[in-house]
Amino acid sequence: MTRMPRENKTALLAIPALVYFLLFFFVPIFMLLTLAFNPKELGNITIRPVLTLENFKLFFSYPVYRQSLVNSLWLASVATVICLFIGYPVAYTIARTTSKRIQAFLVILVFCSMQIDLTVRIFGYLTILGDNGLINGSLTRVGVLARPLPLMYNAFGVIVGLVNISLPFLILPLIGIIESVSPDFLNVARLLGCSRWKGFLKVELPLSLPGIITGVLFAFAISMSSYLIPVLLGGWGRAVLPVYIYQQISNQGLWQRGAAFAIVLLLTNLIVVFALIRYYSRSYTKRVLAA
Amino acid sequence: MNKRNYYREGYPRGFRLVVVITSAFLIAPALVVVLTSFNSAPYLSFPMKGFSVHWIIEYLRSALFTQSFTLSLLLAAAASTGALLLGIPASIALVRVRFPGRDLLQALLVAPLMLPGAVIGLALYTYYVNIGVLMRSFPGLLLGHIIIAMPFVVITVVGALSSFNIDIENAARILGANAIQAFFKATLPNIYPSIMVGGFLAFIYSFGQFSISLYLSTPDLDPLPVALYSTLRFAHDPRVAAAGSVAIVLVVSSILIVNRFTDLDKWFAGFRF
Repeated sequence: MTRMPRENKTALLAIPALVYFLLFFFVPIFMLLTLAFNPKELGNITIRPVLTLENFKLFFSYPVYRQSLVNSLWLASVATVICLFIGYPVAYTIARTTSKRIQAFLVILVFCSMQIDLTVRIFGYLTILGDNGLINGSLTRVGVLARPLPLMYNAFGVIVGLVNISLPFLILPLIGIIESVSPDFLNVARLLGCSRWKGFLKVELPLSLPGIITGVLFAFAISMSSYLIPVLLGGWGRAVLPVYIYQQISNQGLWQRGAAFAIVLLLTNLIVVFALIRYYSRSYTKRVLAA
Repeated sequence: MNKRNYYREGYPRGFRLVVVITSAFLIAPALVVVLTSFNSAPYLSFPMKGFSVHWIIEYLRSALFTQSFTLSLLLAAAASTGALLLGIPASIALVRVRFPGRDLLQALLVAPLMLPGAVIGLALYTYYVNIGVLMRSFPGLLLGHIIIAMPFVVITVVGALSSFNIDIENAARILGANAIQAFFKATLPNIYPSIMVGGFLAFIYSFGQFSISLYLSTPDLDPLPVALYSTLRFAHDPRVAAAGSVAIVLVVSSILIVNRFTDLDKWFAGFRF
């Protein structure tokens, strides 16, 4: 009991950050929410005490906007699944390799690709995937292709870009979890006659599930909200929700609509996040109960 | 457990191939940018027409570098400092004390990483307009960057503090140090590498941040990513590649430095939602 006062004092350390986040994160998001319920008014961004659902109704009544949400969802889902399939082996190698050099190389690679300017990486992909780019350029010159493959300004280009930006955020949470799974579990499975793959699928993969969930959440949320990649690698045909948010605001000056669209994006993200966490904790409890 | 014995049989079949392909996939864009920036042709082309540093010099002379690069650098330095000053004390509270709403606070501090940058940028802009100050100004931009830099500091420092053996600090207390002395003399030297890592990551993330800046910048206050985007959207400008090369060199060298200080692979290990 004598420790209580000291602990209380330590808790005070959180106050500056808490106040800062309330002031410059929570309140702004809340304001955005309110703005989304104001009737649209050209060029006006101040919040008025008139509430309406018309912005949301508009969103769901126009096929273009609905389609952009669907586009966002499926592009982000495909990108996330690909991330998982190519990211897991990388995280696994980083966690399990005995070679310090391979480990350092992969870790540095993952961090660099997380931190290099997005615009710069996209410029790289434009150069690689473009009609006169690295792939098409060399293939047509050699004579394999008569005309360039459509690698960009379509779903393929967008997914390549999305996988690139979200991959590091999927790999990093996985590493620690895989490291924390004792190799002994796998050894036992192997002794009991499992193949290497079966041992991995039945023992190591389920135990690393918390890391997979965290990583998938990051990857999905990041893919869903990317604006730059669909615009630069996808062109306007692949319009996704973030593109329309910006379009409503910068081209049309309708802040209320932009805010409403942003809220739709935010809610979709939150729903997916909560659904995944619910699903995970339920399946986890079930497994614990079964054991 | 003897790691070497166990891994003699290697990874599940096919893993190695996937790792090689993924590495190539991650390296490719950066490599191409660096090569393009040394291309002497005035347009985007592959293979290269010839080696030249023309575009690099052109970039270093342009407003892209003299204004946007400097602005981004200043912004990132200020944002990571701000995030450290707010994030370190908060992380201490998060790790050391069980107070009501602790998990919620931790989620709040990491949330900017998972929210669309566009939503945060738009929300902040709305906020600034409604309170009547800060819009389209450097402080306004900075406040937003501190928000998005915070998750990196919190994830890193919370992780480091959770794995730090508190007995070391308690020993200092027993030997007569007060709470503040004990923290600065016993704990801080031990978690210092992680703080550096958190600060570095926050710095680079803020430096490359696009979405927030898009809503908060002005034509005469364009951070580098926004300036590059404006250039890139309407034309293939080789100066973008040159700017990219400079940024890549900056990032790779700082990651190499950070990697010397600490095990980067453990970065996320101590952190749980």
